[in-house]
Amino acid sequence: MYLKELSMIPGVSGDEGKVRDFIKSKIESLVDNLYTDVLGNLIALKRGRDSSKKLLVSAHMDEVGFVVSKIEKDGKVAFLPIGGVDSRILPGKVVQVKNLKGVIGYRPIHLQRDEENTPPRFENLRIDFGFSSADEAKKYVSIGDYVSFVSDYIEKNGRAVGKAFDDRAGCSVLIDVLESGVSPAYDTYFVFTVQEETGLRGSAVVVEQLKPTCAIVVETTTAGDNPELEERKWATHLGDGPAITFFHRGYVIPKEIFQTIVDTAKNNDIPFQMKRRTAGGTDAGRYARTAYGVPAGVISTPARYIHSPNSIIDLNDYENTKKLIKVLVEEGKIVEVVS
Amino acid sequence: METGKLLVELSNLDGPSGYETNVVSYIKSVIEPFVDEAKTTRHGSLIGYKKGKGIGKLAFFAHVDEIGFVVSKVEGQFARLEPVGGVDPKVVYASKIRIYTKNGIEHGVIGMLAPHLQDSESRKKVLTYDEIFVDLSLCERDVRVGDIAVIDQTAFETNGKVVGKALDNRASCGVLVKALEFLKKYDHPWDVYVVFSVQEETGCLGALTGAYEINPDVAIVMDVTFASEPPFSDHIELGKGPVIGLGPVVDRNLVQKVIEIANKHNVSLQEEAVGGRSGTETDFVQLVRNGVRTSLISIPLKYMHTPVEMVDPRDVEELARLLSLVAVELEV
Repeated sequence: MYLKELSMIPGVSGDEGKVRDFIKSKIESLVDNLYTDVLGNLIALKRGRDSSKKLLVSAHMDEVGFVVSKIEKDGKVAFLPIGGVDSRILPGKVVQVKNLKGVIGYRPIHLQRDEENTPPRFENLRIDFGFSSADEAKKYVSIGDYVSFVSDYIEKNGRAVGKAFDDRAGCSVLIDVLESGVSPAYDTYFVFTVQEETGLRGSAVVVEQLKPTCAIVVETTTAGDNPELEERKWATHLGDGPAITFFHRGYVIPKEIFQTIVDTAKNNDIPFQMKRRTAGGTDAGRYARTAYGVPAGVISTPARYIHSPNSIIDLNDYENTKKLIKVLVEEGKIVEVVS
Repeated sequence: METGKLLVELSNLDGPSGYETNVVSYIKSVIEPFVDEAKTTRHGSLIGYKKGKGIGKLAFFAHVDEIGFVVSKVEGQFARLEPVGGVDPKVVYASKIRIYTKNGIEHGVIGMLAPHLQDSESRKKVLTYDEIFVDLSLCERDVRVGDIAVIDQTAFETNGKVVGKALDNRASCGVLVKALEFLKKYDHPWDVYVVFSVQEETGCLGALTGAYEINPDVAIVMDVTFASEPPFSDHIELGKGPVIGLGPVVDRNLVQKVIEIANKHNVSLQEEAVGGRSGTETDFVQLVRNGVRTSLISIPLKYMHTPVEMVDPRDVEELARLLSLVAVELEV
């Protein structure tokens, strides 16, 4: 499992290079062909026992973050979100640009008047790198620089906490499956996409290049199983196994794909749960809607507090996601039910 | 020790009000070579004493405690918190905390609903301690009501500044350590007392009782103050020197003498008007026993009471230098 290493690497949408280099170094000796496409997706082919059909398995490399939008006279830095970030979680956080750490400061509680009951908004927040002037700041930081959260990874009590688990957990699952010496039924493309968080952009060009029979998207998905949310509103529950999606924004998962995933989990005694909310989308929607359209399924590791610097997953869920993906790749039924 | 490094170490120590033992024992070990005596009081404050020529008792105060949390309720895999001191709930969402359980330190996460599951109502809400919850699922040991906690923040240096939690008021603790280091080289007429006081954030208990015990002739309180905060505090900046407080809570004559010493030795001072209440230990120390001539000098600090407080170590060094000069040259 490379979750720790992958989690600590900064890789905001559009700036996935370091993540890609890391993944490449881990898998290049394990696959039959490997290349990076025009948009930056990393595409690896693992030959199967049968080359008559093709399976695509993918996870996205990017994480939510920010881009520098302005350098103020006092040396502070304004920024815009990349992907869905709740501005309320930002005050008091440490962020990084390149190797430079800065902080998102906030007005002391003693001095707040109207702000006291107002949610913090992007336009009122700045990053402070300790510069005292714009000239000093411009030596290190430029408009357009990517900004990511900084967060230590901790693993304890069967759980892991850190940033960017969405979707570095998925990336780590795919690496693990390759490292396990998987023997695919059909030629299988392991694809690590860019820019999922900015509107499924990287995945838009994958299908045209590979023309797979079928796709499985390996994601990290919202849990929402906390005491402030009524249980009927939970999307998934940590520890109950991989979440299987039947429908999400813009795409109804084909019944035969959904059913194959469920049956495979059952037949192999792998615990699983349904994703019980339909909010959000994944690269599966893009695969299905691109070119001639590739039917796709979605399997996710549930995570609490995603899109924040501290998301939590259950390591058993991760292991079971890995098992399920491996069996699906090795059995190849998911490809057969499509054609 | 180099000042930036000292501040990083002090910031990384955990000591919310009432639980300052870690900080006090660290500081005690650092100052012992520089003082004739170092003892802790009944409440846990540390008082260092360095003998002078006996012309009077000069006491320096800095509080060691920081703001934090106490676990107020445990609900299975989750817990609720109450703040100890003024912790803005808006600066703690989606943060890790360190929980001091009976059997060791555990990590909790202050949870936040992912944007995907929010609706237009929940998005607008500022969550208070009634709604904030801590995820205990990484904890191997039992977390119990009454356990204390702090934000899990590691201090660092960036562009000559130090960033971290609890720099309010560990920056001033750093000042006193550095001042004692300077004083080692000097003969000073004043008997010097340094008070590292507990429980300032919850009502200045340590300074009050420390001042009673010492019964000083002159007191100087060190705290931090707001830098770069318009509209009232944007004239105060990091790196431009310590900030001297002016107003009814300080002794006008003493303040004048301190300013003269600073001018003579090229210590840049910034000025801050203080109204009827400074919100520091000064308010209490001045009124102990028969009254104490008191001055307040602060380290400029950005983002007070957030996990990312920021100070300039040069301000700390300059204030330390000024304090040592005061011990040598002050005449009242």
